[in-house]
Amino acid sequence: MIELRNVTKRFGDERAVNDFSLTVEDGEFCVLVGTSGCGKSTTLRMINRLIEHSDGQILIDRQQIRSFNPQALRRRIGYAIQSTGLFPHWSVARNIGTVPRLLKWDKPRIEARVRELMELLGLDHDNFAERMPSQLSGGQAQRVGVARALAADPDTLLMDEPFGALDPITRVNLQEELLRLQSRLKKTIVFVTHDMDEALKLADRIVVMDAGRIVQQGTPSDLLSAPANAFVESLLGGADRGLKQAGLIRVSSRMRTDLPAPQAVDPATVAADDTLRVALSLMLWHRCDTLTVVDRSNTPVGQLSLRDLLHSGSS
Amino acid sequence: MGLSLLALLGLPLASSQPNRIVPGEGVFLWEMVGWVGALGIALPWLAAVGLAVRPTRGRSWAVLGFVVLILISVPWGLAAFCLAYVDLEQPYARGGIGAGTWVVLFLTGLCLVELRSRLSLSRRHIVSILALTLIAWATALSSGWLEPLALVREYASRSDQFLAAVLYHLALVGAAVAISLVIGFSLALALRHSERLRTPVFGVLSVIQTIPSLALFGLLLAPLAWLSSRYEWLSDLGVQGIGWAPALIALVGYSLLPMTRNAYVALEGVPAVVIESARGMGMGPGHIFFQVRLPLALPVLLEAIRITTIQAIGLAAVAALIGAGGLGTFIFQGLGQSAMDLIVLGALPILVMALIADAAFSALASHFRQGGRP
Ligand SMILES: Nc1ncnc2c1ncn2[C@@H]1O[C@H](COP(=O)(O)OP(=O)(O)O)[C@@H](O)[C@H]1O
Ligand SMILES: [Mg+2]
Repeated sequence: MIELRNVTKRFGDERAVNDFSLTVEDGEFCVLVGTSGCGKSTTLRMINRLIEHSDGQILIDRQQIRSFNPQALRRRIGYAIQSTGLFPHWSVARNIGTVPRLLKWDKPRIEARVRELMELLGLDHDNFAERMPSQLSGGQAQRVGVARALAADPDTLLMDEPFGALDPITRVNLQEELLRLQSRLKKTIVFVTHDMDEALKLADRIVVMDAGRIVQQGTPSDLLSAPANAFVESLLGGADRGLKQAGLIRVSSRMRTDLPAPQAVDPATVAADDTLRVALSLMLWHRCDTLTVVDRSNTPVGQLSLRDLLHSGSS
Repeated sequence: MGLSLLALLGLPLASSQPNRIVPGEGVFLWEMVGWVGALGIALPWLAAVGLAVRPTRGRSWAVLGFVVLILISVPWGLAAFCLAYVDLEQPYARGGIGAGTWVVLFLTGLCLVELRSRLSLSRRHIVSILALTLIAWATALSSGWLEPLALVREYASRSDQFLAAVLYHLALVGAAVAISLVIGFSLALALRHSERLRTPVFGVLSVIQTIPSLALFGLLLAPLAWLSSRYEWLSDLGVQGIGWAPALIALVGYSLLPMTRNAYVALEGVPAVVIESARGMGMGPGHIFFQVRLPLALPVLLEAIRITTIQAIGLAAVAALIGAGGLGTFIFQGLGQSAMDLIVLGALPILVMALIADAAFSALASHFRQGGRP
């Protein structure tokens, strides 16, 4: 658990972070979002003492972070930034093993851990372990960065725009992967981004920041249904809000399974774990108001009509 | 290629002198081998020029073969010349290497550089070509036929001095580079920690750099002479107004600017994100410096050592003027006696040393840049 109580950071006279209070529960995925320069990175870096806070208190597992040696503190908190943060003169395996080596694990244990992490992040060990960072694509480098942050199995993970430099497709892939990892590992994550779509997709809780202060915090659907002010609304994309909200809801939560299954050859199908946003787009594309819902193996499992899509039913 | 043909035909390839003082008489190719022989050499040469005009890979390889052939045959050609033209009965008679030969050598060198990039020759190719050339020279020299060459004569009359001078030159350069590396690196470390020192330190170093070398030696003469007369242990060490002491100090002085500036740039040039992530992983300052910053700065640092070494190799020659010894001694003696070949005897090893230093440090730097580990 991470607690920030009335934390302020001053650079000279300027307050980069101002009277900031936030509690991130164990296993919670918390995303700080806001325009560039609003103090997101500063907040994150205060948590692992890369920057010392000026006022207030920061606690990890109910202990003041100032009571720890900074290096010991950082070794138990995973930290991932844009891919350029990999050590360019070390192989992938050596990069991933950085923190375990600092913690003086023995060699076989480090090797086994590196192997395990590479597998976890979909990096073929034989192919990638001895590569240098310059021989990786942006997405691969970022996977290595995440693996490195996870190496010593920290409870807490700090991530500063880790996918910021990636192309949209790789970016979406890695977001999905991070979600999959998180559902297994249940880390306490503080994730920084300026991209609201990314925040909506990943977060259990979104914290919107402006000029060093919290403007609003809540679940993605809280924010979408009741933005606190015009600033949050504009971050949410104004007129696109409806689509963004639809992007949070799975087809499976709205589809009907009581109707007789239609022909499997029907081209207008949507996957059960796609979002309503995708479903709506498919309806527009096929110019129809009913889609056949299929599961992973392409077997029809139900139907989704425009009425189902619009009616909020349960939620 | 074409130019080299002109040089081959139009300039004297070698000369013969009855002794050292009298200017030699130039000998042209056709005088050596007759018109038929000259044509026999010139025609394939012309063919090679033709091949080089519209280069394809195959043609370029053929030209390369021809260039290597030229390089190998030059010492043997000279040997043949010596046999034929220099009167071996006269102990002072000597043959000189003529302008034509120098130009041919220079131009084939250029061709080699051009071919290297055209055929993207590897370092191993170049090394083996150079080795072949060296073997050709070595065998030609050991045959004894080249003995009448003035260059060889000059060497033979001071072979002990020559070896001593080469070693001395190397020692002077090595010491200067080592000392300036230690001082420059320490200065660079200090400058990274103190913003205020930066401008004055670089200012002073730049001023030293702009003093002409002779003036700097002169400036050091008086204080060093005074110091050594004042403190006996200094003069026991051999510190005097002239000799190695001012030479070494001046060389270090000149080396400090490139060394300090490049060391500083190298250390500062390590990307901030990498340092940030090292800190974020929980590395301590010592760890960060030795495991991250220094290894990443190493290629640029080697570049600094390369530049400094080459500069010092050249400057150390000038230091001979203040009695520091080294290869410069031959050059200045040669200048004094207008003996071209003595000058070459001093200058050639300096050139070779500089080339070797250049190649060695470049290779080392590119090894580390490609992710090699120290
Ligand atoms: N080391 C520093 N010294 C002075 N000002 C800083 C420093 N780091 C950040 N700032 C200032 O703090 C503010 C917030 O920066 P940052 O937290 O990096 O923003 P974000 O990550 O949200 O883009 C900016 O105005 C920035 O100029
Ligand atoms: Mg930032």
